[in-house]
Amino acid sequence: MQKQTPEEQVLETLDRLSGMESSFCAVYVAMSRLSSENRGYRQLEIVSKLFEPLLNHAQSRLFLLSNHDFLLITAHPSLETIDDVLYQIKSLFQDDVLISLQKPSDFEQIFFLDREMDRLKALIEAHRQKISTNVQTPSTPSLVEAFTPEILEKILSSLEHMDTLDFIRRQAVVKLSSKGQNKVFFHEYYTSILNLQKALCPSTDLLTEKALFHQLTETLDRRMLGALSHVSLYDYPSAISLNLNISSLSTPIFEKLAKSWPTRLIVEFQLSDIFTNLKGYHQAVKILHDKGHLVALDNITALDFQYLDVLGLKADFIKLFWSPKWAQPEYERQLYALIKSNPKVGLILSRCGSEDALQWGKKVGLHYFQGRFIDAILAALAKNSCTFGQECSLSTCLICRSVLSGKLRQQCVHQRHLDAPLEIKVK
Amino acid sequence: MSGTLGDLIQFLEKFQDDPKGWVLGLFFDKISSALTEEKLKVIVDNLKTFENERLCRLFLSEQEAFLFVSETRPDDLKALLIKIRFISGMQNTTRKEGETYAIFHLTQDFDKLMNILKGQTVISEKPVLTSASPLTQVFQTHTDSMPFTPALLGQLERALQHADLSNITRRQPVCAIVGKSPPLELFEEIYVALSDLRKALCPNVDIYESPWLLGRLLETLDRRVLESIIHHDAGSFNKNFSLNLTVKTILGPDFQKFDETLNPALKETVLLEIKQSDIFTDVSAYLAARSFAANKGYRICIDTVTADSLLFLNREKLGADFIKLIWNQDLVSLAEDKAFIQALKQNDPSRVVLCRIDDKVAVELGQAIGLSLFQGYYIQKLLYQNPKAHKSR
Repeated sequence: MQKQTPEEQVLETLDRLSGMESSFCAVYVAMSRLSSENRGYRQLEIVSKLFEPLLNHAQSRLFLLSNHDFLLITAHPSLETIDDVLYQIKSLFQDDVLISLQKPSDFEQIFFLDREMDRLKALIEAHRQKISTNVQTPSTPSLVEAFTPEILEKILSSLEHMDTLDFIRRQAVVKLSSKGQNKVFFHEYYTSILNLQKALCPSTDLLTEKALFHQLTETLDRRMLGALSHVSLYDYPSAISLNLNISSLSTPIFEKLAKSWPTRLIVEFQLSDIFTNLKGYHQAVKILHDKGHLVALDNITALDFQYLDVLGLKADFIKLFWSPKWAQPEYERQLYALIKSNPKVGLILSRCGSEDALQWGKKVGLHYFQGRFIDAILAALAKNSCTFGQECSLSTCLICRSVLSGKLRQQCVHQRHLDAPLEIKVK
Repeated sequence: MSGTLGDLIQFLEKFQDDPKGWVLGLFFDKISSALTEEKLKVIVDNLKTFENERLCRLFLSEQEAFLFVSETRPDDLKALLIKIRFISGMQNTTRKEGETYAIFHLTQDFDKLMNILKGQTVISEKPVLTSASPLTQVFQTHTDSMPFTPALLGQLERALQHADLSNITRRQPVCAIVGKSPPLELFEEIYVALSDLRKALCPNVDIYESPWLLGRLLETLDRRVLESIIHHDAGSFNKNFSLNLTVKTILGPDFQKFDETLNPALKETVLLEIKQSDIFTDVSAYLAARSFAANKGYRICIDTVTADSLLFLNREKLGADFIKLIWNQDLVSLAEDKAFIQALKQNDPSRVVLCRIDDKVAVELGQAIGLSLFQGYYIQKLLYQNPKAHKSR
């Protein structure tokens, strides 16, 4: 006998409520509406935990639908409790780009079953039919294999025989000033985890196990530092930034690169690494400053600013992880105050994936920007100013500009132009 | 003259057709962490005296002793056991028969005993971690030190999956000390003694050389401690204790099961200790975990806080009930530092536990800066010198 799908279980449950609808309501949370990075198993676990206050009696049941949306059916609901739970769930995903583009009712709905039973049944029936016709919705997360120590061992072993340069990418940080003196301020060089994962372990999500991932990054640091010693570009930006573990700064290979690289280095650190070894971080800052290099904090969210004295870490740059949450009044005010009282701290708005992010950043007084939207602008400028620009698509230009060597870069017939400084005009 | 375990096997094989008699087995390395060499010598001397005075045979190794007595003398054995339990402190532990000692009546237990002696099984149902366990063979084949690799971590995790960790699980009290008053125990931190784990499973591996792999191992141990509490020691761990957990574990199914075993009325006496680095890896996940745990009634403690990281923390904002501040000599000079004192004040000194204390200087300094909660080997020693305070919680 075929196992019932969650949708079938829901419909069966709703049928059993016939005659008792007035006592019941349903709460629907559409996880499928979120970006893929917010629909992993960990996020689903967190959300299921947040439903707990509503599951405290026998007449409550939580369903996880096939597309990973949640449906809670409960008797005698406390609307205040429902509101609290939904508020907590929404707070978790304030950073999600897709949330900001949709109506609130697209993400969460409450159905009062005495009058909305049919509407709910229709919604679930539509899901059920999609499954039965094997229609893959774009929101269905793919299955992942657990990231285990054994898989890490295999990855590390594979890395010994690979050219890491193939996985190194660069992304520009631009400075846009009100006086029109726009330029590429520095390039971030990083190992593309996505491409590494695709090549070595496509069914494993390397970000699900933080400790193992950090261990992997220690090796990736060394491989990247070694690979950069062999990079040869036509032009170098005034600085490059590297995401490194604190421990990597005391390696001979970092010393070698720091001496041989022709321009300034900016070393980016993660909060998780800093708060594992705060003393080591302070020492690293001193060492880098003594050598004329700079320090950046990476992936700083609005919540980090709320709960931590980020400025107290005395970095030269802080990379703000863009999300619509920054545009909320309390965070915007905080940022205004920060910019006013700390004009020397370079605040970089990273993960600018849209013009909205850029415009917001300019509005609050930020000057440094990084992200896919900026990449697209730079690629368009490069293509337009290139003698052979007509021969390439914008996406090809984007890809070629993001790599330092290898087959992808060789697609470009005018490689010198990939490294050339660009005149940036942004409205 | 006492024989070896090999001699014991040969001795018992003579009876295999008609086994009679009693055997007392003592497992020294599992008896007690407080079993000093001196105490061990006293026990062995008592065993030898017993052997000389009665018709019995003693067989000894470094880790175990087996005493055989004839069929008519079981009470002698039991009396001896009472004395040995008293000498070793076994009577004060919650460990069960089968872990620290076992009595075999050969009429029924001959095969069981022979299997144990020949290494085919162990007394408790789960393999108990000892340096002689077959599980350790992988890690002990080399005399040179071995690097701590992911592959080795994987093997360790597999070895730990079904092992009984009770002999390497430790409790350390957190006490209130005010002025010259003796320490008053508030709760105990339950943890796995990494040094004992290393000794048992991989003495040639420096597990501290790779902090991230060690972090992963600790996560695995966290979950095993949770399971251990659920399945074996529910009577001992039902209130007034703390556990080291990650945000991920709190939000996972293992904690859910643990939560279901506890009396809801007593959850308030249980503290969940979360490392500061875990909090700042993903603040939103921490907030979800904190909210979830607090709704259930648990209290939260921010662990591994140092004097310099205290300056960045706001305990109240983070919704934590306590902070564990690691003692080190730097605190001596920081006692005059305005920024540090201000940070301490902001976080409420009455909610800060000064931990890893190894001498009275730390207590005196802690008190001087307004602290009253302490933890460490020195505190443990003080507390056990005053048994009333230990039992009064």
